[in-house]
Amino acid sequence: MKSINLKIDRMRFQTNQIGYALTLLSLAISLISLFTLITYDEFSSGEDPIRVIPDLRFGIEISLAIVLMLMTFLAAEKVRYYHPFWSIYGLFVLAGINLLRIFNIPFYAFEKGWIRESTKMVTIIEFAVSAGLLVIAGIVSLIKVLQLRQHLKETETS
Amino acid sequence: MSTMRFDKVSKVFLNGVEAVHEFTMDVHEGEFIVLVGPSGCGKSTTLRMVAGLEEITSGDLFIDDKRINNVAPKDRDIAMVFQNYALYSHMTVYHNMAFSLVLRLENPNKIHERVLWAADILGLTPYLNRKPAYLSGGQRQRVALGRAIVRDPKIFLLDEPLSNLDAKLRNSMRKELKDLHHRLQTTMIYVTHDQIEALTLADRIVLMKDGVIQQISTPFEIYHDPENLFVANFIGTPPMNVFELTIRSDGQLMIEGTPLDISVHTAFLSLKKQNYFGKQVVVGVRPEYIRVEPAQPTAQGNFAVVDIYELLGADALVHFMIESTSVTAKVSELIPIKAKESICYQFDVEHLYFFDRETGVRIRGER
Repeated sequence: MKSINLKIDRMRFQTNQIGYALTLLSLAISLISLFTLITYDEFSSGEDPIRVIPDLRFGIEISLAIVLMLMTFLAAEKVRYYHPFWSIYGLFVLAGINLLRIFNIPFYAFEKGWIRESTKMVTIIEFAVSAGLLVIAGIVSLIKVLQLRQHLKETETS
Repeated sequence: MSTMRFDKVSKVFLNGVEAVHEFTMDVHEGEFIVLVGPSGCGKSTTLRMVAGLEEITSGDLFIDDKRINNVAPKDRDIAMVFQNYALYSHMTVYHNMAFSLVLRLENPNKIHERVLWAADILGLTPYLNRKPAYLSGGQRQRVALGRAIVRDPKIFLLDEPLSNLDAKLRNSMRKELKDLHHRLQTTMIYVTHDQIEALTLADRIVLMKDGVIQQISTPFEIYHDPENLFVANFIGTPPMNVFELTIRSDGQLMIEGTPLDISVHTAFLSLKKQNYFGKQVVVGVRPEYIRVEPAQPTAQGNFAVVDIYELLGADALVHFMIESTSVTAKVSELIPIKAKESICYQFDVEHLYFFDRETGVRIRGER
């Protein structure tokens, strides 16, 4: 019991490194997925290169990805210091958006013939991993924030 | 708690400068030793040799009877606090204090307990989540101390830790340091050039000059029983008044040809025995052992005119000239003395110190 309390008590002075690291990792994978998706040219020397042709929907996707990455970074910083909103809700919302993105551009670009099936699959996996990491970070942060809250409440009353 | 022994420890730098010359002393368990002396006297070098930051040129250094000349600094189990704090600016107070234990791969819960314990002792608990930039000088210094005490080292080395603080803060930190030493009962070696710090903190003071130990004594002894003129001059605020006097063959003290009205003292017998009669000696007297009162026709003693009168609060400093020598006396502020007025002064002969004019060595009286 004592060691559990000490472990929780340490959180008063130590940052949420696991939540922070997982969120940043998710951001990195999100960035990789974006580059995987918008590969402009496969540098094939053939006559019929497969390439993404930018349009409005693609532009919106890129803008959304940039905004999401910025928010993910903000979330990482907030989660690091046990911010209640970002730890309890924020990361799950971001994870949900990332999951929804799976059904947007990868399928759209594949149907248009701009990307190969393998690229589509890799992108979907990357989106899924990015979302999964955010979910794990969210669960870890949620548990920590609740534990810390309870601990601080007990400390105040005692 | 640990003992330490210096056996003729010397330090010669590559340019040939001898910073410390045959430093020899025993440090007892739990003792608070203060190394004091003017800049460049070798006190910090001595401390750095103990820490392992400077190589010992010759001599031996023992901690708990183990020779540590060639032991790596990290293996000496010594904690050092620097003048400039040396805190990690990007870390919080908590992490600054925990850092050395983290490096030692200690159990995180143990680290946590140690840090909280040290923070509690030093009154740093409310500041544990702050970074050094958001702390005052005194708080930063306490963090530096905390970082040292969490390690529970055998010996603490403190290199002018209060020098960067203002006078008021220094006073309060001095008390805290003293209190900390009482609580921890750990051997501490403290370097300072501030004699007040030395006198108030030390169990024993080591006074150094040009790399050579001048005297090792308790604060009381070093103040009241100096070995030589340098020690007598260095310790005390305001410093000891020093005159060159001639002792006539009949024992009369003459200052620049003028006889000084001083009654016979036991030290005179010693002066006579040692053939100082008819020679020049140096005499020292502390400001508080000069009795001063407004000059009255019936008063006995020597007469002078006050140059400057400085009120310090409960005490006052009276500056006047005896022939061409400036003298300072410390008197109660209740004595009605004003600048430019005549006074009558008398030396307390029991507290006159005689020194050899050539060597500066104390000529001791027979008691």
